Amino acid sequence: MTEETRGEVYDLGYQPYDGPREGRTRSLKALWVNSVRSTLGIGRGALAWIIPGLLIGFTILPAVGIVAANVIAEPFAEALPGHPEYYQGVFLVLFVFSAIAAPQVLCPDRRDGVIALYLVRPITATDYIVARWAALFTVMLLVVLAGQTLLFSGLILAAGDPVEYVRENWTDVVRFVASGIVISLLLTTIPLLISSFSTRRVIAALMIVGSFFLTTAFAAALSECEATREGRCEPVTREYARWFALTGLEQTPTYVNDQIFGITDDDPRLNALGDFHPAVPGAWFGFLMVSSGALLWRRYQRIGL
Amino acid sequence: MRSYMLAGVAVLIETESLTKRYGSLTALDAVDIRVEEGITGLLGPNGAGKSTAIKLFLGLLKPSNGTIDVMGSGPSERVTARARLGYMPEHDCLPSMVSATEFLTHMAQVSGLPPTEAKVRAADVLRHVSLDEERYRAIGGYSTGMKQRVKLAQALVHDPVLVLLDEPTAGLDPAGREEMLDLVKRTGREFGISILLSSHLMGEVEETCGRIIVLEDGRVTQADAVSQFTRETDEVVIDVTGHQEAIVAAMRDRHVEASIDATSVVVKLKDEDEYDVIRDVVAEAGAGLRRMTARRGELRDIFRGPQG
Repeated sequence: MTEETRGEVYDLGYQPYDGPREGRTRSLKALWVNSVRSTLGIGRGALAWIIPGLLIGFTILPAVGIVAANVIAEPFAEALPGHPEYYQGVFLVLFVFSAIAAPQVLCPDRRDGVIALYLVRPITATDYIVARWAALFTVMLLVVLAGQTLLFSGLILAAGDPVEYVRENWTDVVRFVASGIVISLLLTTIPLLISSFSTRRVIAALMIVGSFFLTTAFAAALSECEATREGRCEPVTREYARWFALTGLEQTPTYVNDQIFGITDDDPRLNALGDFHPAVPGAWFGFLMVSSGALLWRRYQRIGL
Repeated sequence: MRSYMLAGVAVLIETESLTKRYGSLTALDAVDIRVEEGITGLLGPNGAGKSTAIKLFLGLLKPSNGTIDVMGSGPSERVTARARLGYMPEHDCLPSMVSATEFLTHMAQVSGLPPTEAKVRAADVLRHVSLDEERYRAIGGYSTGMKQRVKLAQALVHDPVLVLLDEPTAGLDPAGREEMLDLVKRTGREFGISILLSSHLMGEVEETCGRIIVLEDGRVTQADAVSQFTRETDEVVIDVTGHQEAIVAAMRDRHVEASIDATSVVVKLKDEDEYDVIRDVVAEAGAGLRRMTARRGELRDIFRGPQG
């Protein structure tokens, strides 16, 4: 005969919390994790991650193609695009990714009013925007570097002597990481600033897309070159072309990328930038990032309950 | 918590000559407020300065003048002090796409709790606000009453010492309002969390709070225990079957202050001998005496003024 066991459930009532409190570090980490998850659609069902997933797939697809081409058509490997050209090839996809991700990081908090609950927690408005910025920058950097890393790994495996390949090409890693940081800074700061002007994700995404296309078209139109009678290519705005070229949001990071990899480009707009001392486009890019970041910070200092 | 004790009661918020000006508009004008442990009502009409006071307590606004002490923290420590403060806003402030348990866990972490403890606290608090069965559903599908309970839960999830509730029953039907006020009372009395309840509804403040601070036009006009506002007055209310005018006239002839309030006669007593005068006057008027009772103060008298 088995003895019947009986259990009783007691409601202990409200229990005060006397566990650890980890302060601002935990707060910032929670905000960072929350932004990374929402950007990548983690924990939000298939629809939320399918678009980011597809876009990330598109950024690494060229790497797979280049590695495959290196294996299949080895004699023509020199003619294939490599690390220096990679970012320019996938820039549009990276930019679309940022136009979707940045509004996801900032807009819902203001649209739903959740921002009011964050600002009464033990964090400041500066903590909030820094954590959100850092999260998007992390995601952008990972996405930006994914294709280049895959390409480098694939080329090592495809090489006859992998060790020799690494010894000869390890500087490419430093270069594509440095260039990736520049592109990630741009694709984080400007889209977040634009997103801070709207509470609707779609509107913000359209504004981001619009700003990139408008500035690129503006810079292209005013720094485009025309053939002279002597057959040279002369910018339509003559000596002012280089200044107009600076206004294109895509031009400067592309130029910086080319500088990092030490390549010259036939693109007349980049040639126009080449009329500057190399420090000028870099300084302009730095100014653009700092001023955009400062404006973003300023906007969040003014947000009340 | 570094609140100090005054006559055996912990003082959680104390202001001195607190003033807040927006340009030429003075929202708060040199107010001295003291919020003690327990449930305190911040009562006042719209535009009285209640929301401004709450934002100042939370450190979201800087005072134009005066000082604020919140649980012993000065202006430089106000952000850190928010780890032990809770706030439930009046307006919508919930994400629609996430579940209540996920949202509360996240908010607990933003308040500084480690992930595992935050998850346990979120489940506990949702059970206390009777949302344990719906906690995995997206908040966007909740009723207004459920959303109000999530708003309260997020204010409690990090186990604050003091919670500031801004119009917690706004938008609720009578049943939802009763449920919310019960929860507020339980929070204050059973959970041991002090509450500052901002409202323009006298009924809910009277029903819920132990103390009241009355704000009007940016100034504190009254601050005391609810029992002090509702204690017996020196007036007697007499319900009679008729002849009210004759009774009032006869009272005045005998130098007793009396008036008619709706169908009752109200007599202001100077001494207990006047009860005999009342008896005689009613008998002489030939009226039937239905009820005679001492009049209790009401919160609405606060806004009617002394001449009521």
